[in-house]
Amino acid sequence: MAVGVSERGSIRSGLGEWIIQRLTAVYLLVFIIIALVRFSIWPVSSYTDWELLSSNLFYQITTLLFVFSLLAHAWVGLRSVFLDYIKPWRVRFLLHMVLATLLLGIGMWALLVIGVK
Amino acid sequence: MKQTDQRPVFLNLLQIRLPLGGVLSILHRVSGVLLVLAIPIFVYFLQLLGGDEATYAHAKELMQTVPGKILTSLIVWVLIQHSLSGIRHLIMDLDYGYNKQVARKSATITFAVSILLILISGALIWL
Repeated sequence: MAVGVSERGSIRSGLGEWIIQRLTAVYLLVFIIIALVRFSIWPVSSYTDWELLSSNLFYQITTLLFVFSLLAHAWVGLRSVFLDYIKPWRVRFLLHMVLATLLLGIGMWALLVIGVK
Repeated sequence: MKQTDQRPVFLNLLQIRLPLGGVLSILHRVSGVLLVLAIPIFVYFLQLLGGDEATYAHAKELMQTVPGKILTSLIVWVLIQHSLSGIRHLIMDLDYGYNKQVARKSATITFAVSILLILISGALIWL
């Protein structure tokens, strides 16, 4: 591909995205494994159980971090899919903005659902 | 530039025979795109669970219906596939397994483990 700001869509190298993708991947994996172990040992079997867990600050912070890691991971992943397949950069830019808005919206939603109790 | 333009291009998707690692790679991408769709479902589920007793009961009920179980299994299976090929990618990022033979073997192992975990999770969800 020819080098040029407009055709590449970005003048940055993408190293930051590469690192974010790996760091979030590790957090997501660790979180999922710990959650699986936790719920196998102590299953949530009633609303009271769930209320107790979901009002725990540690749960709220780690779960919010999980959702935001998911969103960042999805952003980098979908961005690279768009970079590979959507060649007209104006269309791609528009798609990136739509994607960013949707992901940020989901992030706000998660903040309200998980953080505000 | 002219020379690069004359390179042969062969993109017939029906005739390209990818090695197992290539199949794993494209599945990683497809499963990743699909999993993005699961994020709002996940947050919605947390919203139901964390609402009040009625929405909590509703969420548990949804999980027991056939469409609910189908959706759960699809998300879990795609997540298993994506996670395992992701772990393989992470290991390769640490500079292990770049040798062709090793890479093919690790691709086979990844598929074997994901099929096993998919069967186990399927049994847990449906039985």
